[in-house]
Amino acid sequence: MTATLALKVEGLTKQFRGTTALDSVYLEIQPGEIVALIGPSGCGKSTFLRCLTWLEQPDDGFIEVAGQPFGRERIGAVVRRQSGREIDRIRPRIGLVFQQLNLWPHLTALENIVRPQIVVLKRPREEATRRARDLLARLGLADRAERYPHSLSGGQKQRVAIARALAMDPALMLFDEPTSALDPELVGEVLAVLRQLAEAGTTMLVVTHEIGFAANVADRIAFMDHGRIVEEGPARQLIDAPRDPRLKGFLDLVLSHRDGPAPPLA
Amino acid sequence: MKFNFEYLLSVMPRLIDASLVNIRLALIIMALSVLLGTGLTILRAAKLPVVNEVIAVVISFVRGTPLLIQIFIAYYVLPSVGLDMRPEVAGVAAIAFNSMIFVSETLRGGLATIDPGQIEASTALGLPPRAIWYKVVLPQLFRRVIPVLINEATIVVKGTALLSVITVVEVLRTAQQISAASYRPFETLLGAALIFLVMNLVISLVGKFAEARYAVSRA
Ligand SMILES: Nc1ncnc2c1ncn2[C@@H]1O[C@H](COP(=O)(O)OP(=O)(O)O)[C@@H](O)[C@H]1O
Ligand SMILES: [Mg+2]
Repeated sequence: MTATLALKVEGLTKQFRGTTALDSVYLEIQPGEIVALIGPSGCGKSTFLRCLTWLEQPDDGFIEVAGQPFGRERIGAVVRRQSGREIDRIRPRIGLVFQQLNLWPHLTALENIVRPQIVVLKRPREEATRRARDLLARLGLADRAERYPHSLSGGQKQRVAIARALAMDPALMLFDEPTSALDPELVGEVLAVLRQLAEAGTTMLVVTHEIGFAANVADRIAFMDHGRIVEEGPARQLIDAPRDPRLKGFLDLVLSHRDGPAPPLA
Repeated sequence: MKFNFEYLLSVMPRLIDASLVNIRLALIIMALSVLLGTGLTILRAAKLPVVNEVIAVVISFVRGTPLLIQIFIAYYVLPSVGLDMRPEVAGVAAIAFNSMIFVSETLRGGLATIDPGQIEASTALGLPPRAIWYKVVLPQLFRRVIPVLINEATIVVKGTALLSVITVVEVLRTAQQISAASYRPFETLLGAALIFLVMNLVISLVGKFAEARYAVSRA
């Protein structure tokens, strides 16, 4: 059973000079499952995703991606840290989409998606280009393939970034507040893409402040506070009947601070 | 002594022949300085403790002393410690070393303007550090520093005239030889100056094209 998990995190811990950003986090995600990670600002959500991709080296804990140990592995009683090369080889298994729209400005939208496939996965250029064009079309960007990032809107850039990560055939996609750097009118198009990916069965862990999105699209919600996942459960249940007082407080705050009308939760 | 335009024209063919030496040396120097300057930049970015301090001392020496003295050092001093250098080799080494430091400083300045988020995105996609340098960082850096590199190329071309002092027979030394025989320094030196002027105008023009070519994809 364990081997089939898309993601298995055990006791992930990370400290920054005194402050504990992650305090022994456990999380399991089944293939095809969509998990929303919510929590107050500074609670460790970004640090969690950065540790999952080994952009930050966790101090302790274990990560398995599609059954494969990532970063550290246990060989009997011995813990071995993987080499940079081993880590780079597993990294494409996890697609990460940042809050900032981190495209390469010197390459067209198409090349942004083609290059990593060629460089990392050693795909032939024709195959990489075909996959990139397919993805651009799926995400509604077929006519933007030859554009450079500076001539794309924020929402389009974010969709290209999503396509770039998807092109690597990840076992799991991580999103770190993918809409929070966008102008309000552009949030919808990116959320629509996330919904579309959800329907297509993409395994996702989404850090988001869009509670409506979390409630409607996610299978499960995990609530993080002070570097710990303090409550976790089916999306609707967790929002309709939060047990932890901190989660209650957080939901009250987020739902009352929304600009628009409250989302249909029930 | 009156200015003699005919005489100026008559010395031009010899000076133009000699300019091939300057062009050849300048090309070698620029290739070396860009290559080594890039390597030095990558080395410095690795932030190895002692290495960067040693490099800082070398940089302050190169920037704080006249190029002419550096050329003499390469020509007179280095052979005495066992490096047998022909004048051309010593001259190229001195100017290329000087220029390499400048290129590296320029690239380092450009490095600060590249959004670290892109680098993280590259890392997260599984690009190994080498590929991040070659495919992501350097292509953007070079586009940004083209104007500075073009300017450096004109400085290097002018710098090759300094090699006349260590017996490299290039434009200036040829002009000096001619005027020593004819006692007409004005026309010959003016001819030499014109040759440098034309070379640098060509470099500036090429630079304008290069800039326009890459401006398209600039963020
Ligand atoms: N590179 C870093 N150096 C020091 N402290 C950091 C660093 N990154 C994050 N932190 C700290 O770790 C905690 C969690 O931050 P973060 O993961 O960004 O929270 P979130 O994404 O939930 O807002 C915060 O207290 C933050 O100040
Ligand atoms: Mg964050």
